[in-house]
Amino acid sequence: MHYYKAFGLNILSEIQLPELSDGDAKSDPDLYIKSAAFELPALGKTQLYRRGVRASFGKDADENLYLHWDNIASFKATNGNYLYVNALTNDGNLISLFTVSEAIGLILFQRGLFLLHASSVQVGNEGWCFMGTPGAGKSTTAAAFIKAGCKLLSDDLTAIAFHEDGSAYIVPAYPQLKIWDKTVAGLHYSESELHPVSEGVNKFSYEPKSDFSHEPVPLKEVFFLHRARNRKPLAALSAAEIPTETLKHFPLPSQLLTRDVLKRLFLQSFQCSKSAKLWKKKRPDGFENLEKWVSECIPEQLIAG
Amino acid sequence: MNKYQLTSDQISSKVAGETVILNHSKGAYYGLNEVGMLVWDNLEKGPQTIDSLCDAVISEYEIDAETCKNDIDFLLKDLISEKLVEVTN
Repeated sequence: MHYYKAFGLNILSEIQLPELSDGDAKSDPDLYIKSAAFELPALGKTQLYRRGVRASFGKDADENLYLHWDNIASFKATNGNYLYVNALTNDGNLISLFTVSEAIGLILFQRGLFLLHASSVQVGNEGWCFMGTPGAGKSTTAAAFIKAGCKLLSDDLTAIAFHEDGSAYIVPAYPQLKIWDKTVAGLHYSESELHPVSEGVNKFSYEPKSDFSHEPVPLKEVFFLHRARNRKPLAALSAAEIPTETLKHFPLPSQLLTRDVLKRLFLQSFQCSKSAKLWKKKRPDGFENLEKWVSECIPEQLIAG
Repeated sequence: MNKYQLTSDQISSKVAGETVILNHSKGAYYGLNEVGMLVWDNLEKGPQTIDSLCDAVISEYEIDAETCKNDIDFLLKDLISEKLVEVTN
């Protein structure tokens, strides 16, 4: 048995998940991850790809959610507290990678968290979140903030929850940020502080294990990154764009977007906009401009804090 | 006289002075113009007659009653066809 901590959950897992922070054996688990064979319901193709494999999704009469990746694994998420993993390969690293991404996302979804396909970092006392289509520079932007001394909160999947007073906060994920070799060179990361990603030839991973805090951080700035030259470099989201833009970055199968879920996401997106500023931002051109933007953000933040 | 009310298919939220509406059974989003928002705000208080909606608009805008009534009638028909508003008796 392995104890982990991720997305605010104490996890007791039968499989190894080396990406995650070590957990506390004394605290009661919020999530059990079990290795098990199970039957799949009827599956439909999703819009999700990982490592070139397309996911299928299904749901049964008891509201259990299923994700299946050919020749990798099937997952069954139950009630927000049980995740069953049926491994279809012997490669433990691959199983782990797929477990801590969309599969754990299903659990977070069942627990009512607001999920975004986004990277996030802590700037001063604030949670900043970066979204964009693949290639728009989410992880690279996060890497630039981290290089400048900010802390990593999440890569790829950002989970947002709400305090009783309605204010939004980011629930830190786990200490791993994957960055391209070009980013490593461009931001002058030293390869000694990075690990090569097992199968990805040109990606590295930054793993701040000893320096990763699981304390929630208030959500303050959200950037939708784009590369369009014909749009303003920085513009606030209009009211109508708040639910639609966030919906575009829903990280799980679109089959989950039933009317009740749409309603919940609509309200949660506006809830975020009450705590945080939401921007459409043109990604700075080149690493020099990216680092310049980051350095302009940080002192401002420290004065404000 | 007919009264108009918001349907259970919709939810709305207001941010920075703008109202955004979701029809969650259809998965469609809507925005309203200034007068539309004033009408919507009144419908949120409960079922309204076209006259009470018209009074609310006339108290804020310089517009004659007949034009106002026509405009609101037009807006309500739009809202009804999108299943955001329904007629109650």
